[in-house]
Amino acid sequence: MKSFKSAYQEEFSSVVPDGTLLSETKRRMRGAQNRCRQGRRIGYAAVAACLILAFSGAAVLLKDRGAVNPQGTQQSPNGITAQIRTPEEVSRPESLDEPSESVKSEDSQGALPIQSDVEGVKEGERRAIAQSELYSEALYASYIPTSFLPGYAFESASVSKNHDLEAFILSYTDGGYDYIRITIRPYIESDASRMTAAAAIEQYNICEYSIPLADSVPHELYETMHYPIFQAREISEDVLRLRILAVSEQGEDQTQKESMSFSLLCGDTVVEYSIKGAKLEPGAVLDMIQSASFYRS
Amino acid sequence: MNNPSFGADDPIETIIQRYADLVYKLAYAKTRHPHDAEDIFQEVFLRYIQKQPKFQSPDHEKAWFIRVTVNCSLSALNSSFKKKTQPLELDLPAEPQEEGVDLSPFLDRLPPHYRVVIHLFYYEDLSTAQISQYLHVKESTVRMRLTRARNMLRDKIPYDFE
Repeated sequence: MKSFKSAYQEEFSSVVPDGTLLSETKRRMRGAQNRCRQGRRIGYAAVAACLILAFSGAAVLLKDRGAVNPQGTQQSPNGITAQIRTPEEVSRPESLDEPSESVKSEDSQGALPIQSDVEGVKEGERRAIAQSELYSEALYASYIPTSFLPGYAFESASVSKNHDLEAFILSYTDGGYDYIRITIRPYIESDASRMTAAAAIEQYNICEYSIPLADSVPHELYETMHYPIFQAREISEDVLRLRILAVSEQGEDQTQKESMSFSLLCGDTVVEYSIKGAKLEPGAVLDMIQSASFYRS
Repeated sequence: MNNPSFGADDPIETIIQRYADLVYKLAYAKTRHPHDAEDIFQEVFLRYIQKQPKFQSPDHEKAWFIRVTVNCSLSALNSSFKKKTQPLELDLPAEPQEEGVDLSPFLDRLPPHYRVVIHLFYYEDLSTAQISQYLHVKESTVRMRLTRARNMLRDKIPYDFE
């Protein structure tokens, strides 16, 4: 009698990942790896900035408190002599050379450099924006909500330009896997096929379809079902309710989550929302959207 | 065995080469659906990059991949769509063919957690003790699942299970 083991092994000998899956997985892994590196770079930069500020502050304080002799040393009351450095010297402490160099070398491998100028960005570059500066962004401020869903906190904001299209990207997270991502950019020609009327429910009601969406959504509805753009004045709780998709958290965190994605056309500007959370309330999401000053004007 | 954690040239290439077969076959064994297996495959390797786990040994590394694959597969099976589907009932014994019996319909009928144990035991050649360690279940549970899976198959297919 044939053994089950050999029959089973024979059955599975042809079950192998195909080349497309392997190359796509590698591509996504490299992308994720670059994002991790970029996150670390931002972390280094933040630590470096804090240290520079601390050094500068300390130097200014010491200068204010006591006289500095011509050798650049200061005698403290207990007799200890400290080396005093000017803010220019402090701005390049030796201890920070290493991370700065590593940032430089990684940037040269193709990552986007972070710009410090506030006047827009060049092609392929990215300008980070602090939370305190969000509503100072002349082009984008009026589309940014002033109140966000409870439990989410500011993660990052930036302006970048790719293929001549400048976009503002804002991210809030709950510190875990839940997020609110908002992209604000000009309307472009190819958006026309994504425009959806709120009344045309069948074009964007994603609740009708099962995961994987690639198998269930008809080809002709692909654009509006995945990436609908509504006129801002048409957005409502009913529309948002039909954009909620139940997703199972993969891996170790076995929880049920909800996600929604949609875009709003505000004049000639498109505001794209992508939200994930344990339970998304359409009313709360609508309040968040309409807290932007655009809706009050 | 070359471990990417200890200085391989391209860790992504190395880790894919080492675990692609294990992850894909195990995901397919659990879900019995190639599209789900592909989604799980990508999810497992992305988790590897995002979490960057540190392994104490090759065995620890293999255990991580098995455990995460099983967890990701659970999520795929728990989707509301999958819960509504049932495999076809096959009460009749399989007709023996010259080249043997097509196992697929019979494996489809097994509960997913039985299929995982069957796969790890008969394909990956793991002992019940190893499977118990990798799946975080008691060895007696592994043995029970193996026995029940064999009993479910034994009546239908004319194979020697020892």
